[in-house]
Amino acid sequence: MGAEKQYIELLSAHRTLIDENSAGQINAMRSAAVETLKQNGIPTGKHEDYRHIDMQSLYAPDYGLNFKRLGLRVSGEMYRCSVPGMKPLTAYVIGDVPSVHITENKSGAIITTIREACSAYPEIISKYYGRLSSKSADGTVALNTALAQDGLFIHIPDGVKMTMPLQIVNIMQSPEPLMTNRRLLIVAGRGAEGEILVCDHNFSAAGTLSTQVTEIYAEEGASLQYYEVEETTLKASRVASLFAEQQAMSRLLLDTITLHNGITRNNYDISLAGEGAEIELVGMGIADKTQKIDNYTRIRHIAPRCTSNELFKYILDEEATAIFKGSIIVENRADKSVARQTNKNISLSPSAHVYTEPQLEIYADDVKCGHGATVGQLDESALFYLRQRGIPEAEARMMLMLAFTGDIIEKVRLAPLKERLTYLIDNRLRGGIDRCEGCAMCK
Amino acid sequence: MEKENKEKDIINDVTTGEYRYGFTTEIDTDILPVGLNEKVIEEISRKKGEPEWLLEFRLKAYQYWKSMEMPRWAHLDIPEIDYQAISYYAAPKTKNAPKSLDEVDPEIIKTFDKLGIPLEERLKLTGVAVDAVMDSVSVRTTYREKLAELGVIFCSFNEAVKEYPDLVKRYLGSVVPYRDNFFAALNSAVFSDGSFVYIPKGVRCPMELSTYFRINAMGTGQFERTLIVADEESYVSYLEGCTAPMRDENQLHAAIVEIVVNDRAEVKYSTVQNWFPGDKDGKGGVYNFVTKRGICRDNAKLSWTQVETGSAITWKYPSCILAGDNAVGEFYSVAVTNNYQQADTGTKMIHIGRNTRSTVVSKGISSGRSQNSYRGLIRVAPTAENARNYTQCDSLLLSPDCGAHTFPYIDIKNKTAVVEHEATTSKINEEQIFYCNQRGIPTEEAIALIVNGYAKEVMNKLPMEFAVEAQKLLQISLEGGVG
Repeated sequence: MGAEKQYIELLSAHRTLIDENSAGQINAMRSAAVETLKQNGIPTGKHEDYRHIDMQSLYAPDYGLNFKRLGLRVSGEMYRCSVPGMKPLTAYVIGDVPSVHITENKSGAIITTIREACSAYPEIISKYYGRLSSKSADGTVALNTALAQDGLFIHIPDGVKMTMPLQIVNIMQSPEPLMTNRRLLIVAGRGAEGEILVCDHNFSAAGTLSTQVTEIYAEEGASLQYYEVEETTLKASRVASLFAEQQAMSRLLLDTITLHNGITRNNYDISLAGEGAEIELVGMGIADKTQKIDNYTRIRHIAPRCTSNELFKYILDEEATAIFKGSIIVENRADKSVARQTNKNISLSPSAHVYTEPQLEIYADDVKCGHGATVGQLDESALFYLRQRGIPEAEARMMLMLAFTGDIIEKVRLAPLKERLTYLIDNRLRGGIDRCEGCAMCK
Repeated sequence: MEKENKEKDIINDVTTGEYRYGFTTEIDTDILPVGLNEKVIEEISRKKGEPEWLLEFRLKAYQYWKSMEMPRWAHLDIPEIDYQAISYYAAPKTKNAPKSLDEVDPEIIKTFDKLGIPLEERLKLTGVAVDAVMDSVSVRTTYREKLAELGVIFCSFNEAVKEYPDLVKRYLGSVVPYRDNFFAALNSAVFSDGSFVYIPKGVRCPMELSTYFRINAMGTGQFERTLIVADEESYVSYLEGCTAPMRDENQLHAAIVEIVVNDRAEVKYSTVQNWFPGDKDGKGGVYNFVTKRGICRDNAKLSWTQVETGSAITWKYPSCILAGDNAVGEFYSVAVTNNYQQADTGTKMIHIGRNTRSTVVSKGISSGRSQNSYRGLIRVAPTAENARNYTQCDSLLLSPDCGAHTFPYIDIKNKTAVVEHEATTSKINEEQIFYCNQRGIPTEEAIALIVNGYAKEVMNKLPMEFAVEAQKLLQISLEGGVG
């Protein structure tokens, strides 16, 4: 038995304390998750899907856990990670303790903690919480389910169109090595519409591990935009799994951007379960120093006439490592599926590593599927063209790199966020600031 | 609707086309009892009159193999194989090696006739020298003398061990060590025979060298081993073709091909693989687990071309280690699966030297209920400055119940690398079929036309003599292969 051992022991020793500080459905999932964890363990380097990042050593340190839910009081504006021009509703997750105090929620959506929702909306929680994640054989997901005590719950009822975007700010600040287990449950009813932005921040002096399991259920005709921006530190590790199930004619945009981080592993498991569902999954990473970014995606075309479009781009410098593994599975009855998957990488340093595995598994015959992957450098002739026109080399390089990230930014539909991201990426590429300037903590 | 049904019928007819090369030659074979242990290996070695070092090599490999487990990572459903239920040696019973054609068993000659293999006078017309391997022992080698004038060695592996022990000893296991994988270890322990080719410095081999393998005796595995050494500035084109008679039992085939391409040399290796694929219910068929690999030194070039239509299960990844500067690796493949066939095939391009280039073109065609996977690795080592790879793998789906999968792995550790990978999976274009139909071309022919066009890029890479046979094979394999 590997790294999972200490957690299994911890769970059996502190089960009562954990349960007491949590609620019904969250506790109900715990025992089964422990069994899955015992069976499959934390993946080792021999696991086909985890070949390039050593999960065992990520989970090995003796992290502290906040079982007693000692919360840090947040005074509204302090952590606002502002996007100029966007007036969102804001919810905070300090460590793994969510805090929602939205005084006036005119958006039409229900935004609360899962713990509170367990008593306020028990039928919705028991229908959706853990339904997708409990099917996963991944030990990291099972461990999150076993340890999670609370999380955020967003429910957009049938036919409701959110009038304001929701911004969730995840904050880690710990002087000691800390592990947090976050949960996020998003249910978009029939024809519901919403925009959600998740920002990840970390000001910890010590090494931290944050795990996150997100479940998104998009009912018939729902339309959802979900953006994640990660700006943490080299000492921060993140293991996140996102599960989404889409019913007929639902549309989902998932956008994940990693600007600063230590080690990041993102799993995306998307099921296109209803006819005509559409997913757009885009991601980008800018990595230098010893940053590691690993995005693993699996899109299942279960129903006919679904469309999936996937685009991931990385820019790498120094000792950074980028991994992309994408698999598209078209099941037998999913005829008329259209799937496209692209991964493009620019490597600027001799010691940067790129691993890419774009995979297709097709069991239906009436499909159009394709994937492409490239690894290369900036186009020398384009560079020459720009310099000929009097643009200094450094600036020309910058322009080309920005252009490379351009089509990721283009996918963002929230105009203020698009502008903000352009600024952040530009800044990041210039090596200007190490953190965002948005919130009070960074200033 | 009616038209659609008719189309399906045609497809069914074509896909269920029976294996045309299913016949068994009645000749006496000398078979070792089933099972694998040190005694059997010693017996194989003794029967072949092998030197001590080779027996040691076999035993080391056997010891290592015992500690290994069958690989399970491929996208294949491999039934449990009982390695103790297989006979590891079967040789046509001949006391002395035949010196002329008259001495060759007429039954064997007939078998080759049926396959249309140009042995005998036809050879002179076609200019092909054939080293025919039937159940593990080389039956007859042609054109030896002519090649000998140039210093080219083309003989059975067994002979090479006796006549050129230094060469064999130097290169055996140098590209595929016995520890490489489960099947390589098994082959290293029990290999029966195969071909050996040596092209001396600066020699351009004037003819295409060709070997045909057949599995013949029931319940015997085929474990041949090919070793090709192309010395500096030499060139050779090598053809390998396989057809196996119809059998109900599954037969195991675990071969090794090792190629050493020295400075500025070029080797072109072409394969047409048509082992018995099993009948239309998925019964029987050959399990083809092959390790093929070549190493390229400075400015050397290795080109693999394969047309895979047979075998119940194929597990095969012809690879290039581009160790020298400016080395070039190529892989062109057409893999056709039908009925219940399974194929997991592709290539590995390992870039180590500077300015190394590789091209991969893979065309998969699946029909019936078959599963066809491309699995490939492009690795650029930190030393491989300016490495360049282009990969294209396309899959064509011809029936509703088949599967086509792509598993590329790209590992880049050098920033100067330029690597491109492009893959598509799609159904056969109905508009193209309709267009042909409109012009009076029946659906079946139209499909053959479209598929041949689709595979042309690879077929063009085959030597002339082979391209004809390959095209025929493609047609037979796909007869009715469209849904």
